[in-house]
Amino acid sequence: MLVKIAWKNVWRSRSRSLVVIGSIIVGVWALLFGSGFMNGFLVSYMANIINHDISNIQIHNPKFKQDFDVRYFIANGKAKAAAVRQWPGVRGATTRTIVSGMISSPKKAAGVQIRGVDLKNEALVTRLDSMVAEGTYFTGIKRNPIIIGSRMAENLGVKLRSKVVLTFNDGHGNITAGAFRIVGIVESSSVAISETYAFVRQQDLTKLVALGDIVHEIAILTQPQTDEAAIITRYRQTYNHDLVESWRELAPELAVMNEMYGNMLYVLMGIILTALVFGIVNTMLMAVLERFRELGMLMAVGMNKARVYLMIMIETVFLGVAGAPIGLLAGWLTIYYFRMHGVDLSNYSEGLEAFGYSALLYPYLDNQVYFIVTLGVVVTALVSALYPAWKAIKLKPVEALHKL
Amino acid sequence: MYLTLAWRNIWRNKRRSLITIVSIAFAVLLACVMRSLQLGSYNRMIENAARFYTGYIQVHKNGYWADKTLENSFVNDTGLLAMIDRIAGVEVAVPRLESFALASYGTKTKGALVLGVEPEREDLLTRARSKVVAGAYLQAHDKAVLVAAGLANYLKLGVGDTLVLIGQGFHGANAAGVYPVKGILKFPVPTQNNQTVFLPLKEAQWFYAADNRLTSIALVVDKAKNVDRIVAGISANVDPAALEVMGWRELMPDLVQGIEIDNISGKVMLGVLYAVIGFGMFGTFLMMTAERMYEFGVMMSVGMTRLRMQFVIFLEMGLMAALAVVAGIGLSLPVLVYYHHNPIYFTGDSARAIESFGIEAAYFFSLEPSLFYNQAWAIFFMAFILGFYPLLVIQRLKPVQAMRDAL
Repeated sequence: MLVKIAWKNVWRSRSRSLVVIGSIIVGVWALLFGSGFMNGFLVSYMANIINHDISNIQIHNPKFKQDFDVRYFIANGKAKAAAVRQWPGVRGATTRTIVSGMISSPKKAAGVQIRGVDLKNEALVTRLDSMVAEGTYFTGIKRNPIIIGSRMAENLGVKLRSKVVLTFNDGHGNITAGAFRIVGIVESSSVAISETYAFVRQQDLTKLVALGDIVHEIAILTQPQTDEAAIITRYRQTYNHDLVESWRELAPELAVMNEMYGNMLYVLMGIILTALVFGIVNTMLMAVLERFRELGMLMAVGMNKARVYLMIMIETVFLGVAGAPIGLLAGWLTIYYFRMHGVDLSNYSEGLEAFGYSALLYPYLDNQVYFIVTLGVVVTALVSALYPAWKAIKLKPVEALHKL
Repeated sequence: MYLTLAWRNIWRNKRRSLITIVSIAFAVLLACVMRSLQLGSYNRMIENAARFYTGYIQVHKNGYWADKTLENSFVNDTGLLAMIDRIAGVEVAVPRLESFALASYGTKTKGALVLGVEPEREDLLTRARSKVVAGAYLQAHDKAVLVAAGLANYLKLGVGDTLVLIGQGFHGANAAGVYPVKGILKFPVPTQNNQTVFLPLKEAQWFYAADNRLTSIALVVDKAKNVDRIVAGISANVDPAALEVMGWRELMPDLVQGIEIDNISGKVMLGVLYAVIGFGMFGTFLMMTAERMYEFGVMMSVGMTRLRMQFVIFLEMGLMAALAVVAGIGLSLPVLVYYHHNPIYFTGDSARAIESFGIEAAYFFSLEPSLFYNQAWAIFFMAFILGFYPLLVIQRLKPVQAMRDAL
């Protein structure tokens, strides 16, 4: 009975109901689009770093990362990498020999991390070959080819086919040096790649290090949607002496960024929800005030306060239930559309790509967010109805009837 | 006459007008808070980045920034530093001589950024003294070094050990030196922490065979927004062919871009907020119009023309929006002033993680005047557009039917 009255009330003043439904639709849509958009920023930035630089999982000798001493290599690293490559969920695994040292051109010297890479697997894991902007991926120069980043090349004042000298401590603690010729220059938005790494062939580097065919790092790229933890556990069970880390431990700054963005998102969502509450409260309040006469009449003919209160709340629920699915659909469609086509941001910032973002942004949302947002907005609508409903039961029937 | 009418109309139904005014004022408040939060965090980022190392402004020999070698150093003429110090807004000018060299201890060697500094002035920029975790800070005449903690760890050396530096000096001279370690510095930024060596300026000039030469002068200024004026002031007093003067926008293009990118997402969120606010405001206007149908009908039947009525309503809207915007700014000012001076620090694991990178884990609020009037204009403009709805309703109003429906 009460439900029926509430339902009829909703449609009696169509424009007013439509405004509230509209606010709910806009609220749900705005929250979905806003969080999808912010998420898109973060996801595209992180994917870039994981796919081109640090990979999902890295394995080292537990002592290696303390001071990057060449003597702390992974025992049987190559065999382990070959085994890991066969595991389900692993897209690729590559080995690297890593030495820190100095790179010098005739003009200048700079600190460098020299990475001896397995050409075929490196291309699979970090797609290093696709980042080569000038020159080639280790072809065309027979003896000691080297690939460096564009910023490092600029710093050193070197070009393709220039000669650079790498200086570092070999496996026996002696300072050793080797001359390399630049075969390629990679361009990347990652500062590490473009400024601090130099890539050489693994066999060229191990020869200079003089400790045999050693590797210091195994990088594993997983298939999309694979749980990294499963692979990490399996590795730990199979080879228990190595240090296995996921990208969260490898790049805590990414995790931090994730955190900061998340916090900021909550704050912004809070502000938007507050704005929504205000919009709904205002409209509902006006709706109640406008109906003083009618509500007074209902009370005068014997409807008690609890029922009036309940009736207004039920009305709000109807409005919420009508608005939320439409908002949800609109939000989902918007995000779906932009996931396919991308949001073109190239007009807003020319430097976007240089900074590790692509100018096309793909919003992204977890499924549960849809649920949370919808629930949040409906609850918000209910909360917003509390005050107007309370206002309604406060009214005195006789006065209300006299008012107009 | 119209104005009086509009003013009286507003206060005739106090409750309705107050709801409208409060809803617009609240919109202004929310928009101001959101924007203030965004702009405040950018200002802090700039301030932090400038304090890490770069300074707000740097002066170097023309061409040094593109090609950072000792060959692009310049002679430290005392008149130059004195001239810079005299410019209004400059708090301190920090002279530096920097280049890469190999740092070696025992069997370990690593490339290091060897930085010649005037200890007292450097401390005013990077607060280096507070970063000393072992040993003591440098004196101007020491023949000793400070080593960054990451580098010290790698080399496995501590206070009192002797560091060997080998590199290339000015004009290709051999640079070699042996220095006792006077202290260890801990920098929050990993790249800095892993490669920095501090040497007193005089000693660095001797080491690099670059007598009385500098690679850069970094400046601390009182306010970031004065940078352009100060850059212009210095540029006017130096030979532009010899020296380049650069503000933080040129010095830290990555930061500028980072802010720009973040600003895009900030603006999108602001747009989303406006959409929600706009809808709330529209709801209020709609209700207000619906409530007054009877009144409109009566007015028209007693002979008021549509145009005059529209004009009165338009004045009402304008007055209410103006009141609301003023109220909104009045409400947001005390809140923002308070939080501007007392940033909201957050705690917990994530905060500690953030702080380990030298970033302050807090929300900062800006008090930039433009932020207030931009929001005020935007909301005012929105009220103006939405205000066309009642005008449209009046245009289409049929007096008799309006009076009947309302009853």
